[in-house]
Amino acid sequence: MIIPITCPEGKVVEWVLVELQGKIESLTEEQTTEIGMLLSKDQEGKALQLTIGYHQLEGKRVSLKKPMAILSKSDSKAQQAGGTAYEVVGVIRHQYLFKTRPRALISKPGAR
Amino acid sequence: MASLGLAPGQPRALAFAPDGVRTDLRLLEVDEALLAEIIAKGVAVKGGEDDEAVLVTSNKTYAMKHVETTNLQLLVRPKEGMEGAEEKTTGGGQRFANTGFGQGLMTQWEGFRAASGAPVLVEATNTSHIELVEVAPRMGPLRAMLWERPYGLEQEGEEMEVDGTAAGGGGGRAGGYTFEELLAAVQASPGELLSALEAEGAMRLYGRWRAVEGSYLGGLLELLLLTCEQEGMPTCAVREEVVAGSLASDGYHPDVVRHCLKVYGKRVDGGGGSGASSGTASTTAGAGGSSGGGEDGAAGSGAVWALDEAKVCVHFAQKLLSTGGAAAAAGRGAGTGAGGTATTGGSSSRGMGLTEFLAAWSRAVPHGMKPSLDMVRAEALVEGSGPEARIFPFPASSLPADPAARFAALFLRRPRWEWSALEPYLAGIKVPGQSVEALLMRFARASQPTPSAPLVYSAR
Repeated sequence: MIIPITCPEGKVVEWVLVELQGKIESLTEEQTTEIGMLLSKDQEGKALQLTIGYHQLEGKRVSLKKPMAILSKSDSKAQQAGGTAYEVVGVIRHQYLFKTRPRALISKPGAR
Repeated sequence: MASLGLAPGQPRALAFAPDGVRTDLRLLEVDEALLAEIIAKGVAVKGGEDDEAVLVTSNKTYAMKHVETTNLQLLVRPKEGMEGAEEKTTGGGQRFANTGFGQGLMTQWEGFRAASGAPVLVEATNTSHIELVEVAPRMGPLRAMLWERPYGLEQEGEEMEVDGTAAGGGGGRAGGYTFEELLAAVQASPGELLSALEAEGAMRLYGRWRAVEGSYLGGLLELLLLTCEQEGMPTCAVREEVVAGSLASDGYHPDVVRHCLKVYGKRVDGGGGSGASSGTASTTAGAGGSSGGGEDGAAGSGAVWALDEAKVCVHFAQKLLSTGGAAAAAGRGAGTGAGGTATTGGSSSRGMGLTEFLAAWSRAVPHGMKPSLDMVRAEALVEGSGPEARIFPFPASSLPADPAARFAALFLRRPRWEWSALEPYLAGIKVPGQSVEALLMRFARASQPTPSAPLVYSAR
């Protein structure tokens, strides 16, 4: 069985990866697509702060040791002998890694 | 360089893409060279149902390993205008600039919606990726396929039908397999498959690959050598046209003749190099190097080959060893098999006396070629020394390719090996990323009886 992996466009779009430890859960009933707020703390955007609900995470941008290619399965169009084929839709070279313990934001009575 | 386009003090919302978030994208760890190849030509994943999948490029094979993570990976596709978010700030943005403590949830949402710029959209999530480790290609079925219907005396009469299949193939299976069929059957890249086919001495006839019967090829070689002598061609300048023409009358297909030349020699096209008169042993390429080449009327446009002395000598050695001396009596040169060949043709397991072998060998090889024990380093083993020395056939090609299996076979044959004897038998095994020393350390134990004695290897 041979499954080809190709890049039909001839070039790749560079994506960005945001990596968090744990899972994101929504506590409210309303369906929302919002996750949180991203804020950059320095000029180049290397150190970031991500606020999700009551938590705040610190992260930074790192370069991946080896780039990752993003593959998407494409079937119907590529119905050759085998059937399955993968296409490269992008590549990732950097990630924003949030690996510190989240800090809880609790309003202190009397603050501000 | 892709980034999220965040300017300090400009918070941006992070949200899942409204059209939906994919979870079926796969991440593949690559290096830049491999990425470039995927973009330019594409690569493929191969494997049968019971095999582990491998990824092949044009000349390398990689094993694929799944790596899971407990982290959550959010994939963001950069959009236009993300670099350099808009300037407009609102009250909500200001509040967050001070890494807010004490923001209630509702206030946060408020600020969220008021934040400037487009939200950063997460289009996919992921929790694993695939790592690639370069491995030696798995050629397992290759030998069996090549030897399914080897080419020999019976196949001489095969003709090609118009549609490309060989007639006379019983059961609808023409002899041999096409390159594509082989490629689909083995877990190897095209480049590696081609090298393996050459190493196996496979022949490509009518676009199909198959093995050639050893005795048939050997017989053809000897006839070829004879023809060279008859035509006055030195073995370093064999003109293909001439030998093919002469051998055709013996029933040998010209493509098969060319295959024989390829197995035992190298093409040295000097087009116009005069083959007949050159008496030097140096390759014709040098002799024919004179600009334009002197037009030798007889050569025409035919290819010229130089036979490899070592390979030809090895052929005769193999023949001698397999028949244990009986062949020596039928060898060329002096017809009298007298002088040390009184021994009955010993079975190959008993080997031959070394001196007897050497004598028969030098009688058997063509004029001008000088055999030396060095040539059979990967073909035979010498035991004992002095007048008692005997030589036994032990071809490297009969040993398994997998390192563990090969070492086991070697130590079965001989418990202790000196490096000089062992080295030629390790030439065939190659594991990417591991040197021969590493393999030795893994599968063998080195010892030294005295500090000045050579290293001896034995099984672990």
